[in-house]
Amino acid sequence: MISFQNPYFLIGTGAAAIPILIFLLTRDRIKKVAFSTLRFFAGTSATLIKRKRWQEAVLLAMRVGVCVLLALAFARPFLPSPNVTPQGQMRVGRAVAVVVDVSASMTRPGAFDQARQIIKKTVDGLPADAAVTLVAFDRTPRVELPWTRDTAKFDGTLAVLQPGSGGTDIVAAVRKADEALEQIAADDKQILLVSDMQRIGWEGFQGSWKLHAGVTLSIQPVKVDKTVDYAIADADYPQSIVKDGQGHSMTLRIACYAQQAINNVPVTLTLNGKEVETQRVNLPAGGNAIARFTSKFEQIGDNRGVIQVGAGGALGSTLYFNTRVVPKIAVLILSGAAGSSKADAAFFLQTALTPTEESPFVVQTLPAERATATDVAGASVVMLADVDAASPGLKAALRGVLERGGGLLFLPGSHVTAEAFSATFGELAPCGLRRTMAASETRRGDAKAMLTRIDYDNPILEVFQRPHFGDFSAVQFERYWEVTDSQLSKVLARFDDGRPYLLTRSIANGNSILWASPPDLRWNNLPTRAIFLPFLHQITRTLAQHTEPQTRYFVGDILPVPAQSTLSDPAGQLHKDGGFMAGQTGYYAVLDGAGKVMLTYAVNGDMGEMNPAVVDVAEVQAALAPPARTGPDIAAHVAGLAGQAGKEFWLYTVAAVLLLTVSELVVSNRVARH
Amino acid sequence: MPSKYLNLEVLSRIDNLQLLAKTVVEGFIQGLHRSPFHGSSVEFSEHRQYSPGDEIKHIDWKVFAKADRYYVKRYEAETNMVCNILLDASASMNYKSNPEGLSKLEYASYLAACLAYFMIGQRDATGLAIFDDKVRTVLPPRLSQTHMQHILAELEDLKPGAETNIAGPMNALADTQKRRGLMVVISDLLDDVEAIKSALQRFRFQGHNIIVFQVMDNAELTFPFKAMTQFEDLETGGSTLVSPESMRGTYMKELQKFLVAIEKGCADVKADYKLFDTKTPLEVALSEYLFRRSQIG
Repeated sequence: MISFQNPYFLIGTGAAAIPILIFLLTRDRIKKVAFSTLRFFAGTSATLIKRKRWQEAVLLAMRVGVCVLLALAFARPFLPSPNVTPQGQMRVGRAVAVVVDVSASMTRPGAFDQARQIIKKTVDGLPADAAVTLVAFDRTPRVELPWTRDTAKFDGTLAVLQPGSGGTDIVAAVRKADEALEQIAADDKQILLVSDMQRIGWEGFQGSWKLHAGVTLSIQPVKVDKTVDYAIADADYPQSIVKDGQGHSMTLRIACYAQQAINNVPVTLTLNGKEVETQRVNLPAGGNAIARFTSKFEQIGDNRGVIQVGAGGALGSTLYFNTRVVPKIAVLILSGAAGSSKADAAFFLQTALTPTEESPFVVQTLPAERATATDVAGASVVMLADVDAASPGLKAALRGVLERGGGLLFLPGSHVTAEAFSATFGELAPCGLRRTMAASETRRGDAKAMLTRIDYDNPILEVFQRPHFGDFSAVQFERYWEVTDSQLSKVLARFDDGRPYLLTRSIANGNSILWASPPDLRWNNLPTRAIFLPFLHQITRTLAQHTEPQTRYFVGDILPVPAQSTLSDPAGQLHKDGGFMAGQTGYYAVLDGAGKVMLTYAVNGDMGEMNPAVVDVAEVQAALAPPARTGPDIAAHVAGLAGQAGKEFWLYTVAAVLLLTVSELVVSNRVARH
Repeated sequence: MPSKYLNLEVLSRIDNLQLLAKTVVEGFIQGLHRSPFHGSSVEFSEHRQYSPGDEIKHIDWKVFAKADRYYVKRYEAETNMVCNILLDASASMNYKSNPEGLSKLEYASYLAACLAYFMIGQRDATGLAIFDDKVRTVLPPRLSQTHMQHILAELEDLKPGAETNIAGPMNALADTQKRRGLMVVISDLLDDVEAIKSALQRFRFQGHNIIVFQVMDNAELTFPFKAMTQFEDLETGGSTLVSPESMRGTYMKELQKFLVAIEKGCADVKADYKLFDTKTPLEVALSEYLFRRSQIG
């Protein structure tokens, strides 16, 4: 018995009356004509008339058929099955979405076997009219097996499932299972979550999501008696640096999960295959210890490193990293001031960036009007000192710097007009300019402007928060720009009258920074203060840092693989260009066409994955419990895509409509109307 | 003479053709059909020696006084044609394709009225016979305006009758028409061609001149029907379902065959034949006929 998803469209079958009416109104009515004689009608063909009548009947039937079938098609017919809903969903008495944790913590001895047993016991106890699906999760949930009644198939899938190196996200997993339950019709919908219930996999949940009505969440925690004593909980190391011959620090936080303190734990740094240093740390019971290494990175390009805590082999005790070293940062200074002056911004910038031959910067200074796109192409950072004009080609090149991840530093001075600057650099600068202000305008006497409200949390200024790293209070400003249109920017420092001094804005892949008062002795005394050089160097490094690709990834992240290159995973397997999800810890090398290593990604498991702290099952169930059911599950009846059976039936109906329409055209073209 | 058959406009048109009509009518009535009989007339023709039995009133006493012999005067008759209009009023003549137009019977009646008017105007004794499968009305040839009124009255009251059976009524009429004259047959001639020919032949044998006006509806000649049609025979009541588009060829072929046979039959009996279309304006048909008749000489 055929049923319909949209039965109201069956009203449309009434449209079948239209061709009948048209036929009745326009058909060849037999006119009765009284004629003088029939003697000349010899040979009248009754067969011909009969054939014409038959053809007209066929045509009418076709037209009626088209109308009826169209209405049927819109009504979406389907053959109902006790196992399929009108929406094409599988219909079962009970649906169980099994959600199993395959994060790194489940690699602990016995953990996953215990999970398998729990699941198998549950599935084996399901009634015959039940269906199951299997969702595996770490940080990312995925459906390993769609809905099935075949428990043998389920067991087979579960048997080959293994925990990996990923983190844990309990809510994402439950959500995935909940979505899967929306695709099935069942009187009883249940989610079975089997996990070690690490708190770290629950902490990010803000309580903004609930299970769908009618879904019950059952949690079977895996109990692991034996756990690791300690693991790396956090790590900080440079991903890319400019070769400067100086040591760079790497910091490691090691968490102790043991009930007793563990002393004299070795922490070893290995860099480029050579063991560099071993430190010994004492781990307090349930506490943390810090290990800090300082090392010089001499090798241009990749510097693969490993920090091993303990004897090695323990879960979560190894950190892989790669610090890329670039030779020098290419800086282009464009000067808008005519001639050279030993008091203007361009002079002080040039001088501060190249104090010695050991400077990490390669600086080129050019008059802005002579600069070309070619000059800009090789620069990681472009500083525009007193510039308010640029050719379209130069502007495009500056935009290109931002798209490459580089930076622009705007230093508007005396030769800049507010209107020209805003018109030229409105899309590239953090803000526009309104007017220049003298410090005396808003202060008494000869008082100079000072900097206040400095955002030391920002990476650019963070270093100056430490003692002896610089003092902004020694800087005095006589003049500065009042800025405008700064809505898209972030203010990192303000003058004491509240007006912005240092503004930054992220554009494309890079950053743009503006100083409202240039390093010019006619504007301020910054060039002669001790903080000027580190301040400028810090800003320049920050602006340039995004030009180097990211090398730090975690298991489950997508590793970018550039075109025409391949990716070699830790096991040596090659993967083509595009993207590849990191599935294990270690080094992933990007190879060029000749097989040469272009870049190395260091992939680690989630820090803290070994943290044995668990979340209370009742807390999770209470937080995710669905709202009380207030009515029928309308969504289950209304929503949902048309199922395969209904879809096919619908397609057959539409095909019949098309076939009939074409046939009607052919027949009607062949039949003489009269 | 108010009559629907003597349409003033028609008559005025015909009167406007006086130059042509004068010649045609004289040829038609007198020139082509000059009577060999002498009769009572005011126009002197010749003298003839008296013989016993001649009426004494015709003796020319002036000639007797001069020649001392009896001679009688002879007069040329002014009216010397007897015309009979034989009008078919069978059921088939009632057909008309255009409800606003004329049926064949109406058209034939107009034609008969006009002819009678002309004939009596030319002082020809004109008679009218109306028939279908038998003779329904006979008005013997006479020459008077009163008689003309009788003819018109008959035509006005004309109703379609039964089936066409031209041969029977014509044979019956032939028996009554002893005096030679002109027989004008107005009909659609939807009868057996041989029977029609036989009847005309009999008129011919009696010395009559014959003119046949075949009246057909335009639809009968062109068969313009398109939709599926059930044709019902006006005379027999029989019917047939026809798809006109597929039937037209056959119909036209059969019609042409029939018309050709009629024309040939008329030619065989030396009868003048003219086919009229009811869509043709009546005056044009008359004018054309008169013109054609004059050419025949």
